[in-house]
Amino acid sequence: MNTAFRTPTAYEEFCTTTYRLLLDCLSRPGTIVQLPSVEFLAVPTDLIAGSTTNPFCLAACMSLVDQETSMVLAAAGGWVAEHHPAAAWVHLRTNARRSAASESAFACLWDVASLALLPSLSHGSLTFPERSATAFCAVDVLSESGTWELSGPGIQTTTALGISNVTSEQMGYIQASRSSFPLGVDVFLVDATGKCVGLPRSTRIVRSRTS
Amino acid sequence: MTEQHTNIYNFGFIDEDSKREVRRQLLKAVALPGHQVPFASRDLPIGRGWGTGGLQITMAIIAASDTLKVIDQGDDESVNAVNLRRLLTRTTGVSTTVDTQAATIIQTRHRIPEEQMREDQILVLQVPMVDPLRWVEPNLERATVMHGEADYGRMWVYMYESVIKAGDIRIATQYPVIVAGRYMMDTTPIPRWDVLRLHNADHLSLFGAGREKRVYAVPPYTTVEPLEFEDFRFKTEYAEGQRCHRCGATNTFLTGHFVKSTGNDEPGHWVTSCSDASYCDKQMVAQGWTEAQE
Repeated sequence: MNTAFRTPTAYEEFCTTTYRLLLDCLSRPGTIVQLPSVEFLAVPTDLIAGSTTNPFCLAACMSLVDQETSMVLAAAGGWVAEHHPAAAWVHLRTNARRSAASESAFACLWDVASLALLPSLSHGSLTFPERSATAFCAVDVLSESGTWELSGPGIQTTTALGISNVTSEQMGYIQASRSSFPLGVDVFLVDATGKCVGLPRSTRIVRSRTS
Repeated sequence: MTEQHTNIYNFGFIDEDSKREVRRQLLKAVALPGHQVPFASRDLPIGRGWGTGGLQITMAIIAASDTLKVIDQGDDESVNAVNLRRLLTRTTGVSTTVDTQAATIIQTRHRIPEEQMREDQILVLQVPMVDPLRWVEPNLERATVMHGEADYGRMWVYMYESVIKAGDIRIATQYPVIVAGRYMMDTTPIPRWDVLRLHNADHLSLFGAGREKRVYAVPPYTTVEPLEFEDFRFKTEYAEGQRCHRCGATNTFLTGHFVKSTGNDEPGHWVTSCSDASYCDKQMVAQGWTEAQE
């Protein structure tokens, strides 16, 4: 058959591959997927002084944004200023608007300490629950066994999730982000090796009884 | 096609920004099972109302490595399926199949394939009417508020009146369901036979309405409960003793067609066969049939 399309660029292919993985892990909360290599993006590790950048986490968030949407960054428990070099670096590559956290559609959190900022993100309204933020948060190590028990749509019964460096208090912010379904914030956790897990607001998270 | 026209379209026809917009809305749809999420619905070389919602979902998620199956009421060779498949293959180059088991993405109009789908497969449904509340509240703004408040009382009254007037629940297709115990959702004109196959399915189902500019989703392992009363239960089209006249299957959704009289004493008559044509063929091949025999 005649075809009439141009071959996707490396970045376009990266976005599509990443999207299918994000869609898959958001549909099956607790399932850990491996995000593709992000070497071609050449993310500087010192984008934010004093915080290590997780290039997988940042690139996954960037793959979903463009000039029609807004994205905000956070590190060490605080929002990154609009004119910070890291925000400029992201803007230059995505065109995403830099807006106040409460109005941002996407948030990229450099570390688990920044989970404390989840309450200030948009949770949507009852009429338009989709007008809420999606947060990507970098964590150390994810595993399919551990402290947390997940249940809800996309999970057959329950499933376990281990997050190496998160405290109960920090996890409490994620739990609170789904306490008033259908309002809430959808969260992706990405570890240092590019393993990713999706926690849509429909997922209930409790500390598992066995641990 | 001349040489300079071989690469004029973006991969998957719609541009990358349009894809990203659909992708973002689909993530919200998955996080809010059964909730209708607005999306921009771009113009396509196919008229709105002819499957453009499902088409844009497929265009937004498809990758070169995918294997695509497109069906129209269970049939791979119907005109809608053929045209949508041709647009998708010309603008992506992906391989296509009629075999449900071999596909990674199945785009469908009004059917769910008979063979059980797996976890790694995605079902994309084309939606003509998105809101099950339209029968009782034609005003979109008011219906949106009703969904927000899970205010479904009038729909239950509609169901009740249907039982009072007709003696049973009189909903043939687009059967309303409650997804994950929260949102009421239109199941698109799939037969009632398929409705329960959305319940706790292994696969992800994505719904797109191009004309009405909405997408919604049913994630895997999500409850899908048809509206019913304790004394008037939801029923599928299944009839005791039903049988496909071609492959002999007794557990499929059947469609009827009229066979004209051949002139010799035999009068014209109705026969029923599997609506899922490739499933029917597969059963026939298993029984030693070859295409030349028909």
